[in-house]
Amino acid sequence: MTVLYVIIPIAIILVSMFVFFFLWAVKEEQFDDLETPAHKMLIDDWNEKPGKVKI
Amino acid sequence: MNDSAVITKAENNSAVDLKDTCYTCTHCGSAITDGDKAVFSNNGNAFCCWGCETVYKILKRGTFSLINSPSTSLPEYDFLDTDSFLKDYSVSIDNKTGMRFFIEGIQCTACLWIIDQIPDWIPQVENAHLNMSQNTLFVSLKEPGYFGKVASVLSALGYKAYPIKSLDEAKHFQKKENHQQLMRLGVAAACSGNIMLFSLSLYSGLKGQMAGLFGYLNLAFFLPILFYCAQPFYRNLWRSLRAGRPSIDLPVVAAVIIGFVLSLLNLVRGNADFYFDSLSILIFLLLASRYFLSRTQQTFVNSSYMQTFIDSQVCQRWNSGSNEYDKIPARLLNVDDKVLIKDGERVPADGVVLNEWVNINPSILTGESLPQKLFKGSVIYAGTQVVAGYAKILVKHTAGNSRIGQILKKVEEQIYNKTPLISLTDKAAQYFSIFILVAGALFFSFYINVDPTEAVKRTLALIILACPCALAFATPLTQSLSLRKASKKGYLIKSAESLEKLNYVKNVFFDKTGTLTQGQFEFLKWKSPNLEESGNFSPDQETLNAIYSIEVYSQHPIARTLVKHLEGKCVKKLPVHSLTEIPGAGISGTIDNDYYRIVSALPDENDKDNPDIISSLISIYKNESLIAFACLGDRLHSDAKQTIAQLNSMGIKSHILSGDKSMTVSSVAKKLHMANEQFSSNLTPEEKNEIIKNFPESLMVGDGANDSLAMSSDTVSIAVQGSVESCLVAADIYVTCKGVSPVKDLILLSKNTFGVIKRNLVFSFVYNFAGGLAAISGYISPLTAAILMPVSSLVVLSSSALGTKFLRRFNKTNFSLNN
Repeated sequence: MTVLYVIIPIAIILVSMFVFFFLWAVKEEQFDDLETPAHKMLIDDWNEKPGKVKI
Repeated sequence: MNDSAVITKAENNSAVDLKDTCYTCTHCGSAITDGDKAVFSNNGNAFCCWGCETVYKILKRGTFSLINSPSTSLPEYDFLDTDSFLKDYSVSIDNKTGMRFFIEGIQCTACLWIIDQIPDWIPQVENAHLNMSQNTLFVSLKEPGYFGKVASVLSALGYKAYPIKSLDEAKHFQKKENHQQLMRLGVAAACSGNIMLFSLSLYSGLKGQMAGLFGYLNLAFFLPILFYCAQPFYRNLWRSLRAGRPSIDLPVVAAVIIGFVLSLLNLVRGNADFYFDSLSILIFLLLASRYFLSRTQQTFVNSSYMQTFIDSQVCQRWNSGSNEYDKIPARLLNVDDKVLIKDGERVPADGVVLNEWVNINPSILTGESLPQKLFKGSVIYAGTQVVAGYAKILVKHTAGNSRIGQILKKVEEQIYNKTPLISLTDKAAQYFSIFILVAGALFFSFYINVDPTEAVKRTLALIILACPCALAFATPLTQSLSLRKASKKGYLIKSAESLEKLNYVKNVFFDKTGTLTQGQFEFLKWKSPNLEESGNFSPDQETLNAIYSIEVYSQHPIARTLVKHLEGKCVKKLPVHSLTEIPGAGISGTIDNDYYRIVSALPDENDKDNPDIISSLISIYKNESLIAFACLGDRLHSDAKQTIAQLNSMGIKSHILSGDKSMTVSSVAKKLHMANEQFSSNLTPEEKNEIIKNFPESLMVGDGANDSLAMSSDTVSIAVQGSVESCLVAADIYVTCKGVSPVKDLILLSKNTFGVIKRNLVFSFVYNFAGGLAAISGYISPLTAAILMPVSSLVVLSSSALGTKFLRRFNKTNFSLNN
């Protein structure tokens, strides 16, 4: 049972990492448009484009 | 696309045959389910959308360049770059101006690709970002003044672009709120997941010191849920308590707080009875269902775009000081100003015509499909379009006070005044939650004298078990699933409420032009003067040349249809003398000493060949003797007749409300097998509204500004594809595919959705009452109740997800073709 003393902190660290990155992703507006990026990856970048402006 | 010979079904008969034979897109290979949406090129290739068509063309030709073809800005989009328009519609990001558009016609990756190329074609565009889930495009510019060009390019590509008002405070707040909801949901998921993990070991018999530790871990993970995730419930409860209304959140908050306090006491006392797991799952499921619901409800094009369109248009005002016309925005016009309106422009204000005559297209106000000729001194209304000649008008009412302005104002007021029909389930759940709390309190006060600890336990079990959250989220979940299905098919439903109203619809009112019919003329055939059905009669080449040469000068839709038809027939343009337009009738002219007269247009009563076409006859006279008839038709949507028959079989009565002449309307009604009392013609927008008010539980289907007043009244309304902007604003539902069969689909969707909701409600009522009784009589402990409750929610969830057979098939098959 002593293994629990290792596993539980690991679980807590994993959870806090998930929550941290999830909140970060929401604030970065990554969940605002779920459809376009899926299509966008099918398109080849065939010429140099200016960096996308944050909207 | 403007110069290439791409044709849609409406414009060419051969395309109709293609529709039946081609089932996959030539470019992307996906099946074309909706023949009406398809695009057909001259060499017989079919495409699912304009994007595919354009990409295919570029790939085939190699050298094809769009940079050159759509380079000129269309004057109709000039208003996008006027200062007054930019004030309301532009957004500024990093010192660059940007504008958001709602794009109609986005279908697949090809559309995304083609729109992504805009910065390459217009170098002044910094960035174009398409959001496919909302069909919005954000365009930012390097230098100002190119939004009109972007819109022109989009329209040249075959898309329709409507500017959306810039993110104002409310929209910004809404976006923040969405983020907040999502963050709460994520935290709730993480915490409740871990709580479940720890609780599992407790349920499977963990005892001793470790059990205590797990209890405190549960508590630690529950605290964020209690203080952060559950905030919306506290706020909603507080708001509704202040308004004096019962709230569905009452038992949720009660259960959370009582459960938390009780669990805390048990934890401190070293007792293993805690409810953190069930409470956290409760919060998570409720948050999830509410988030899905709010994301599904679409909010788009809800700005008074039409008003701004008229307001910001540049018009030419006579300046008596300098004796020339000044260009000013229509907003600055005053009464008694003299304004010049050129061919193709919209009239900026109500006024009186000063020049001899002018042809206008009044369809925005009346729905009338034919141009109207106005003479000196007659009243001309704002919003109508000058189609031939020019107009000099004396302003009588400025845009805001004009007839269209008044209608738009009323529409906007009624949108805000719409009394929200509090849905049946909400009410039931609200009263049920009060009932449960009262019953719990009564039971507690009665039983506390018998056995205090048992009283606490049983009351808590009752509140947790009978908490109508299954009932509460059954409805929003089922509705949001249906809304999602509908929006995938291209039916944008603005609120779940209108889906609910559709269920009770008894009368459907259709507009005629553009709704039941396609609203465009097409050439059918020539007929000999004695109208005999002798097959392929055709006038001689000389006559064809004459017709072409004369009609080429007219802007009338009938003339344009004839010209378009004749252009493929190697006709020559001959010099015409003494060309005269005959007011409200046709055009005449002299060629080589022969006097030709081309006159429209009576509904052709003898035409029985094609049940889908409303045909009119154009008579062609040469030296005052009738030499031929041209038979033109406005085609009924192919699904119109079927839809009306199906609505009939559902017990729903169809009516036609039209601003058009009674002869045309009655011929449409006859083709659709509708009785005489089922159509009314020559209606003004106000009259349409009056008629609908007399029919409760009615549905209005339309496309024009003349329908928008009727749409905004208490009925539910559907705007069909190609509707004008004010109609989009007023309508509850916006359909992005052609035809009227969506009306039937939507009603069936609504009926099936409510079937599922009823099933859920019956289940949750039975469960709540049976469980409540069992809890009171002590058969169920709070722990069992806490386990049973998510199970009941799961049952409701799967019942909603499975839906009915109809709902499962809704997106897979095209009902207009298969049924």
